[in-house]
Amino acid sequence: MSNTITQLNRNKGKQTVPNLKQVLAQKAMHKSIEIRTQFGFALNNPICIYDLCDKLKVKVRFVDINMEGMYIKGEEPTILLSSLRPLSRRNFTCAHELGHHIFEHGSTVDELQEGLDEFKTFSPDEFLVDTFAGFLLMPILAVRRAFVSRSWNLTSATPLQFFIIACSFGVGYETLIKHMTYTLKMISHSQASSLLKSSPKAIRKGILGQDSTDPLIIADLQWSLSILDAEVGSNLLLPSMAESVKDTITIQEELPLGRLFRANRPGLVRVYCPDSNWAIFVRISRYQFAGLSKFRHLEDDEDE
Amino acid sequence: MTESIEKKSIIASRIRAARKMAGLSQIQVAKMVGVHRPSISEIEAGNRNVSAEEIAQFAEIFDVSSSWLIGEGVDKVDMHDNKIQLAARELQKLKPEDLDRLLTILASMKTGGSK
Repeated sequence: MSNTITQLNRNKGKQTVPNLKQVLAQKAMHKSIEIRTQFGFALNNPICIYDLCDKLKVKVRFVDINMEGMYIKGEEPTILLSSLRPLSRRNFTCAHELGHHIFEHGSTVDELQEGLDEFKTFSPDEFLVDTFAGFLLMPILAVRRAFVSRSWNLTSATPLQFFIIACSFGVGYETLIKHMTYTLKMISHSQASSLLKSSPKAIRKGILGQDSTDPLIIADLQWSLSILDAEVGSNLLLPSMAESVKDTITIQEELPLGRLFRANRPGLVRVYCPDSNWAIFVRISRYQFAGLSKFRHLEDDEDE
Repeated sequence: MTESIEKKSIIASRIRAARKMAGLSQIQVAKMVGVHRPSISEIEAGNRNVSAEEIAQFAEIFDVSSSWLIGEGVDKVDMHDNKIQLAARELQKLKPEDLDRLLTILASMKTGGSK
């Protein structure tokens, strides 16, 4: 761990935590821009974090272990992510762990234990990679574009609109709001606090007309990625004319906001609107898939 | 149990464990290596010998080290082994059974375990 901690030790007494946070946030932002640019990802679009890991030759493995994630340094750097967490959380954790790779973190277990004793309340490395993950997944240009392309006003956008934009970045509703408040400073604390009074569960209920614990992903006509990742059991709210070429996902209901599909089985399926150019590939993984990231969307075959 | 039968049984169980850790079914693996599913099932039951080429192929598909697959190296790594370098904020909070699974995964990996 690390250069950051060494630096913090050197600066003990000279640097306050808020100042240090500012320095680390700047560092995280610059690095996220550098990485996106270097690997050909535009700054004004969401990304698939697993595609970026592939490009960086960092392996991703989902494990059914009750944790968030972990980075293993070595000749073949690997990120472990808990398959027990929601998809959006896995995406953010993947970006967080990738941050550890980018900033070359990695300590022996003994060093980690010493580090814990020393920084019980604030870990500079963890703050750095958390902020990096936010910038990497939600750059300011991409967030701004997400609102502008939908003609939504940042300061008056509704919880539903924030929910739709969080879906487009593959992150959680609260994660988007907190990132826009504390890191990007695009919305005020009072607006954030008002938005956070609406829970994702209540927003889902408003859309579906009933309570549902199943994840809901909304991809509207402004969805800018060519892929959408979900897992079996997820509800997908797609444009009202959307059609799927296979029964990997099937229509459940017509809703005021669009056509509701349900993810039935793992696999890759093209979904399109016959009345427009809108088309995406929906990639479905098994529910709580544990295994190598590259196999997560393989179709199941009759077995065992 | 003779040494060779014991070795065969370790290889069989490690291939099965590695396949599951990769998130693959027997039939998916069979398709990837170009054999029928019963062959994979026989290998995992320890009823069929596995060639060095097949071991290399399994190691590649499952992303584990070949030497771990053939039974070399430990079942679980020693957490205090200084060769293992991690960024793991939750290590202290893991339940013993989760830590056990983690150590098995680390042992099988090219990075964490034997080469």
